Amino acid sequence: MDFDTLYKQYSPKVYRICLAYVNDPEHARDLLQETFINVWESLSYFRGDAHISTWIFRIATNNCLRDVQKQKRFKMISLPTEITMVHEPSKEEDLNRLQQCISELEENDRLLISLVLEDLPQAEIASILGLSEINTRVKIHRVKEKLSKKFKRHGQL
Amino acid sequence: MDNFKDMQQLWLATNAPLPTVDEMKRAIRKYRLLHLLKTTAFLALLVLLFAATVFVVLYDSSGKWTTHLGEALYFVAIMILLSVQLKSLRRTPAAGNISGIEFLNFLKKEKESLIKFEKKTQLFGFLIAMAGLFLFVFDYVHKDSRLAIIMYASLLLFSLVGWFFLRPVFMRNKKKKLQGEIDKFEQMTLHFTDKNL
Repeated sequence: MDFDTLYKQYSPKVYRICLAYVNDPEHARDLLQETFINVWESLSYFRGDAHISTWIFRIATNNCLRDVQKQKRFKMISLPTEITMVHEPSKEEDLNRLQQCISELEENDRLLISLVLEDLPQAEIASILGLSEINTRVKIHRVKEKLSKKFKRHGQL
Repeated sequence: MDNFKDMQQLWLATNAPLPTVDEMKRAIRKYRLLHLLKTTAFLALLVLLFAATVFVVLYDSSGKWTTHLGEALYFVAIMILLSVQLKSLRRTPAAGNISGIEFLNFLKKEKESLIKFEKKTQLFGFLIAMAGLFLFVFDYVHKDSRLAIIMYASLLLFSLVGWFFLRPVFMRNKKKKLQGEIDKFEQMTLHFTDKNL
């Protein structure tokens, strides 16, 4: 697979995963760029041990995990396109509420829920994060429950 | 809209006008070029220092052997300290081939080794630099005992202040930052692996 195809296919997903983790469009854009720099540099070394999507999501999630130490030293090249969320006005409020709820979760839970929201199979999520499938199932169940509760509570405010 | 499927649909319908492939490729090329320039500049500095060391030690015939040895030791100390920087420039290999937990462990070990490395290397580099400085000034002061006493007393004072006052402050801040990151990675690993969390 060539870079162009991969970028077109996976950039929206990678962007949403990063956005769920950092809750900041600008920052998510930096992480997206960093992920595709890694993809660009390592594509020829891709061993094919895992599916290409698993490989790309691993790079994205690992970049998110490393973000805790890199925030100050890693300044990305500014991309020309301004990123803003495009949504119907009626759904805008719901989306903001959802983002708010995701941002209130712990880092690991944010990463986990972002992969769940992308509708990835549990086995793939387990492989990306390095968890057992049973542990992944338990954690997904809990984080879904947490998010639903938060979403309901925020709706009542 | 309270069930998870609805939330998922809302999330997946989120459209962000992302950069095009060409824009992303341009940004990547620019980033890689900057990285290459930084690495090249750094390596050029190392080569220059090495060449200067060789020139001074081998071809400069002025001064005593103590002066040459002092210069050589001082350059060695600089090279050692630069190698610490080179280590920090090293990039993480193949992030796509390791899982999140493995990556967290890698980051944790990297920080731990950085603490050890800086602690040992700094001591080694400082001792070599001071030995170099003590040898270097010998040729200029050995004929005047008063000047020699003043010079060596000043150097001793300088090294003591550096070692006992400046170094602890620097090390404390650096270690605090690194330890904070190690703790964070540990906490995240625990949160991933512990079924009860």
